[in-house]
Amino acid sequence: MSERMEDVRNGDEERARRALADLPEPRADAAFRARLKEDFVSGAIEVRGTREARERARRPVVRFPSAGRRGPAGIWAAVAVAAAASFVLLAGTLNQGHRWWVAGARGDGVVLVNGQPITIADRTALDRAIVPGAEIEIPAGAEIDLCSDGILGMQLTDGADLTVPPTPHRWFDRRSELHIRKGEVRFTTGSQFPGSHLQIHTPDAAVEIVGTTFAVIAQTNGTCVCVLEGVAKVGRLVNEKGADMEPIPGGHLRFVYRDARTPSALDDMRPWERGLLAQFRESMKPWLMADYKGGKDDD
Amino acid sequence: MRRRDPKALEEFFEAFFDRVFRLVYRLLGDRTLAEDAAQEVFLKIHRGAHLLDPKRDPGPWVTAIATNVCRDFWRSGAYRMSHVAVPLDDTPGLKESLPSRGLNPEGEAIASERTRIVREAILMLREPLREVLILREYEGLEYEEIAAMTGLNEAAVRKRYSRALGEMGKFLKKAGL
Repeated sequence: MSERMEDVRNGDEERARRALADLPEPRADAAFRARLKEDFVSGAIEVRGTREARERARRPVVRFPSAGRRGPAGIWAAVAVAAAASFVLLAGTLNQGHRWWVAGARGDGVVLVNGQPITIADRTALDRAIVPGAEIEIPAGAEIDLCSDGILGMQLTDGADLTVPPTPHRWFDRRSELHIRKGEVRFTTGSQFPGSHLQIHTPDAAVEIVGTTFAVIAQTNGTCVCVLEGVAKVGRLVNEKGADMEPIPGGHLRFVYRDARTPSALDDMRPWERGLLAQFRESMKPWLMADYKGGKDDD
Repeated sequence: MRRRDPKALEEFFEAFFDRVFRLVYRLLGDRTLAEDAAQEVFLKIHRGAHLLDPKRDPGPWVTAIATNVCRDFWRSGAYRMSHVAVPLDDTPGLKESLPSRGLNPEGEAIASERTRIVREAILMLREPLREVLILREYEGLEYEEIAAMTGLNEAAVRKRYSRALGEMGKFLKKAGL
């Protein structure tokens, strides 16, 4: 470490550096090392994984519309099928919602998108990498706002870990599903959202949204859903489906426990979460509300 | 490695395990948490192996994953509960290091007490300062490399490094070291 002596400016700093240099090197337990190596090399780490990984394994994958049935044989039938296929393709393309884009990125650290590190400051790389199906992890001390113009805004707060959902379509098949593995994600819907259905799953809870501003906080002991405006249906996640779904009106929260306990009764939202959601709602209005007067502002 | 060939995975593990464990242990200051974190890091590496660019050094990628995992741990309740102090018998490498110094029992006691105090001094640093200090002192990263990894600018990294050393030095001085 002597090559770093240029860093040292005073006695305290020099004392610290000497102490650091004298500290013995940490060594892993040999049995732990051997077990982890075996799991890593054999691939068993993917199955056994960590506690968090086991929770992830319970997640449902983002659903895509299933393919339709084929028509009968014959030339005319083939032409009709081809025409129908072209129509479906065209309609499907036009039906797609606006893509996700990064409306804001704050704090510091490295975001992992599909395991690839991207610094929070590199908005271009984040924009390119954050697409439906991408697995994203927000580092501590950072926040990212994602927007699908006119439809939905999501604020991914520090520590959030989720799979980016497809944006709800414009005219038909307007269902979208999102899984939050952990952390807090705030949502606010836009003027084109009505008619869409957003389903959110955490390891414990299922949330159904038809237009509102709310936050989903996946914690180690359960999931808290805080609704600022509108109504969200919240219940336990059983066999990857919502159970005992109950409406949560604006200004209230409900906690769904990880164990078998009945979800909590309605409670008032905490003031700080109310403030954060209201702030997020306001910040996203330029891109979500058709009647908003004003231009796009960067954060 | 991209095809998760067992031989390549083994080589990768041998090349990076000690480095990962040392880093997460130093950042978290707790053996059990460090083992959990190391396991999490290698799970993420396994899952992201197909994304590795064979032409580039995977070291920064591994370090970024390990640092991010530790940041997640810092936010967890388990870390906060265990963050009170580091027990003397949980000081890895201490037993191995003492005999080689040829110390007598009194000397060994002084050395172990010194190690405990230094570890406490590292753990009393706020996590953002500790992160920069460990990456610079033990990982040997340059300021610009730490800046790229943490998303800070280079001047902020220098400032954090200097503050970390200063705070730690003051703590050690008070403790009589």
